Amino acid sequence: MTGFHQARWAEPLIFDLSGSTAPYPHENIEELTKYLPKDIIRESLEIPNISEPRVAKHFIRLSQMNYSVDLGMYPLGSCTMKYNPKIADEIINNCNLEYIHPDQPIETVQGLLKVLYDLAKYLCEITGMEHCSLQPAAGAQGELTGVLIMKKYHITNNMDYKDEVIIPDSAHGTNPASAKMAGYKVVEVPSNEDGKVDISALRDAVSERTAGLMLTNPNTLGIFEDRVLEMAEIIHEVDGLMYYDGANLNAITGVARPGDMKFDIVHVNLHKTFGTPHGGGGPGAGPICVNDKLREYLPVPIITKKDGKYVLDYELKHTIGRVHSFYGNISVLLRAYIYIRRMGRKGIAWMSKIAVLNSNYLLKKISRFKGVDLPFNKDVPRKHEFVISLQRLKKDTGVTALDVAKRLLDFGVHAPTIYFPLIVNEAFMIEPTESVTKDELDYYAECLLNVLNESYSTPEIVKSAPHNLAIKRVREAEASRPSSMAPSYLWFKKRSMAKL
Amino acid sequence: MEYDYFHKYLGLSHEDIISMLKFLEINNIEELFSDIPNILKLNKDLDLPDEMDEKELKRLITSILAENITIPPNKIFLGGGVYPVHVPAIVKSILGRSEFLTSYTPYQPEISQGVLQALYEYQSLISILTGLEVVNASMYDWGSSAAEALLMSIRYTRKKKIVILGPVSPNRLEVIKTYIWPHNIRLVQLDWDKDTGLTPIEDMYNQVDEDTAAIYIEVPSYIGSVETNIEEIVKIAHNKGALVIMGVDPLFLSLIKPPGDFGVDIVVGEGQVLGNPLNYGGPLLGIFAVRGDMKLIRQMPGRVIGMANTLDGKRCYTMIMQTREQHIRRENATSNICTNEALTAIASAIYISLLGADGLYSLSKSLIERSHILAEFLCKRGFQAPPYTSPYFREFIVPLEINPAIIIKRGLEAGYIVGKDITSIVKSKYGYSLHISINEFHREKELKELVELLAGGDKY
Ligand SMILES: Cc1ncc(COP(=O)(O)O)c(C=O)c1O
Repeated sequence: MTGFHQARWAEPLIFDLSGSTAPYPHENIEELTKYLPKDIIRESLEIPNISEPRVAKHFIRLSQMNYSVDLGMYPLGSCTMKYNPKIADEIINNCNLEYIHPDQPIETVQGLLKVLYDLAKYLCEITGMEHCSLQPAAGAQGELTGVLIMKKYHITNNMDYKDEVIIPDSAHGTNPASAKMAGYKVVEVPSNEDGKVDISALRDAVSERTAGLMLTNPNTLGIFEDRVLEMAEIIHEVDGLMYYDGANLNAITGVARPGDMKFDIVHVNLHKTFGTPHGGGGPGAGPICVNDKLREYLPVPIITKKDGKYVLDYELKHTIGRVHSFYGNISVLLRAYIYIRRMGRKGIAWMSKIAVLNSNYLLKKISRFKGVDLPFNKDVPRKHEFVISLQRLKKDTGVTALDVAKRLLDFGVHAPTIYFPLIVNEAFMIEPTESVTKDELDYYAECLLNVLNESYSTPEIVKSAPHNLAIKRVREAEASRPSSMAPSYLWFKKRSMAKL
Repeated sequence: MEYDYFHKYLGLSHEDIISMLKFLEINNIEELFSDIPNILKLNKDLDLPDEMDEKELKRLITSILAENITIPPNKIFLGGGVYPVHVPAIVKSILGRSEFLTSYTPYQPEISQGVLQALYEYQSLISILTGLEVVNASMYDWGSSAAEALLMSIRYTRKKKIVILGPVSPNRLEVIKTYIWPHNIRLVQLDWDKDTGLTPIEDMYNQVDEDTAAIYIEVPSYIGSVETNIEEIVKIAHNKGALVIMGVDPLFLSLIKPPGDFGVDIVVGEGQVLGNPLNYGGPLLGIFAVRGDMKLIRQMPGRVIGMANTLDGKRCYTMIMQTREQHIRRENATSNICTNEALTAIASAIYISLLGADGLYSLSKSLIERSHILAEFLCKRGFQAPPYTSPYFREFIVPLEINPAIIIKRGLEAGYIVGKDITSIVKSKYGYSLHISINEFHREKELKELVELLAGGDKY
């Protein structure tokens, strides 16, 4: 198959690199007593002083032990690991954003506000909504913002008895967690045998207490909830609100819009659909779009235009308040703007078409493999992602989805999302995105086939994988055990000293 | 349907598409959307602009952003938690590595040791600065860190009252209020004394009671004043079973004893100042550090990276204690946070590693020194800078006789942003007031010009 081998540096922690650790502070403490009382002045700071070239080598070596979108296929389902355009890097690094302070007078940032204003407009157009706040720093913060809006809306309209949010069992964990943070009780509705929300169960779950429904469409199985209008009717009937989790927007941009599906609140993950880099876990951005009746509830400030000038508007009558210390993750927002302009109207529509084509192509190849099952309705096309089950493989060979994921890494590709959604056993959730080539898709299928074959012939190779990476398999459980864990160097040192 | 459309960011060629459709035994891509009811289909083009190539795009952005008025950092006197920072070239260069930039959460630790070790180092460096053993791999910003720390204290103590001491940034306070609003929490904000710039400790005795979940204090405070009696505050709070949450400027921690040494339970703060550009206020870096007590740690939000071992006994790093998190615990998770600010945390790890203890110390010392020089200049010209007696680190307020808006405008005409008008917050105490912050770009020249701008001397 491949001669892939990840770099393997035995790179110590920064604390173990040789550098001077001169006494601290070097100068006389008296110098500081002019400004601070002596008893609070720091006497030691155990951070080594290392030369710049050694610091450079340290982090470059670490970078070589990290897989990324630019290295190969990274089909983490639900995460939309698409190409992050280099032109955005270049513009961001050269557009004098570095020293713009958020408290600067508004007249000094008119250009920047124009970009943000237009981005908000584009997001409204793409989602079919009317107003937008760019403040939330990630999808989950967008969700929290959205459910807080829900709450404030009901309280303002004398419906403070609404204390339940309905969430399908296939939903991402952030949905119930966000609802809970907004003080709601979470009511879970099951999926039916087609992998969609069970409408009669939804009807049963709905009551006067229902504040709203949180849904992603297509859902986390990659299946489009075609009865969404009916759901909206059921929810709106009791004055509930429809919340759209935009994590899966990459499936339908330019094809269908949450607003037309009668959603009232939508968050968009710019780090997914709009090509901003994931940065090893962030930063992202999770703008939220709402329809007209919810405008007054958005976080303040929002960017508006007044007499040809862009202004920050704090005068929203029912605002839930701020969710960010300032205006959101500006450089991420700017990147998304660049992405949308670079793609253009046609590109934005085509990206979803190609993402869905890639997903179905790979699914068809993979679902024929021994050990693999496609749960739920086999006849509906999946959207930008799909979920298979390796339950049969596990039964046949004892090899788990985790094992297969680890072995895939050996071939220079990233594993899919595993064990999510929770309603599929040994779940393998694959989202290729539109950025990959047909060759990459074919290679991925080939790698998976190879691993499945190994699982039947030489399962120990799979169970002990990975073999070609910087390290061998991690003993996960032990790392979280209070007796053996070490969440920081300080903790580690204290524990080692106690043992001595 | 034609498939001769081509965009450089899409991976498939015309021929690929045709052969893949054939493999799928369908005639066109639209068939893959056949399950979407027609009534829901857009059936028209989105109202978005046309595609642009790189040249056009660069020209466009350059021309739009030319409408900004660029002010160099040495002429900006704004702060309040985020500051103009010199980002060392090495930080930018390493962050540009696509191995860091274009990866995601290290769900598969074996192939993600780079991000994991870098984040572990970030956690460990912050843990040394704060003196607290457990640090998460980042929150969105100081505001949400503070809010989540307060929610954590409510879960931990099962009490519902929060006491806030001293002047706190109004923006952060708003974020806090947004987050705690649904939970029927009583928030008591203690006033501060205009002469000291701090909340008198005696006032705590009346307000911190058995129902108190936590006290929150920022050191330095939003107006720059520094509470020096942390030890007593901790004692009062702990006596009533309340937690102490301290908001910090991490640079200041290189000058003062680590909060952990005083018994502080949770430290939150803004890490932007550790090597991250301002970007008009985002992305930022929410610092979140917790005392190494298992019961407390189990309630903390966010990702935590820990040391681990491989099957063959080698040291490595992985995400730990994930059973607190939303993807496992769902509505019973300690927070909803998923995507965080990992890359800014990595930037900070590189920054601190580059500066080392010496660099951090001399940077912080130069800031405290320069802010005192500025205050001296101002006092010589008859200003009360600052109008309180407590120590201060890098910022303070200056009461003015005229509306700060006039001075801010005058400053802008001279190419300066002289500070922030915070009259609305401190009016009852000091009247018209300007909030002024020192950053590492200020030289004596700019300090003097600032004084002139405030004094309205001949030149202005
Ligand atoms: C379906 C779904 N919803 C919500 C989220 C949360 O988004 P974020 O990680 O940006 O907070 C994610 C992604 O992680 C997701 O996959």
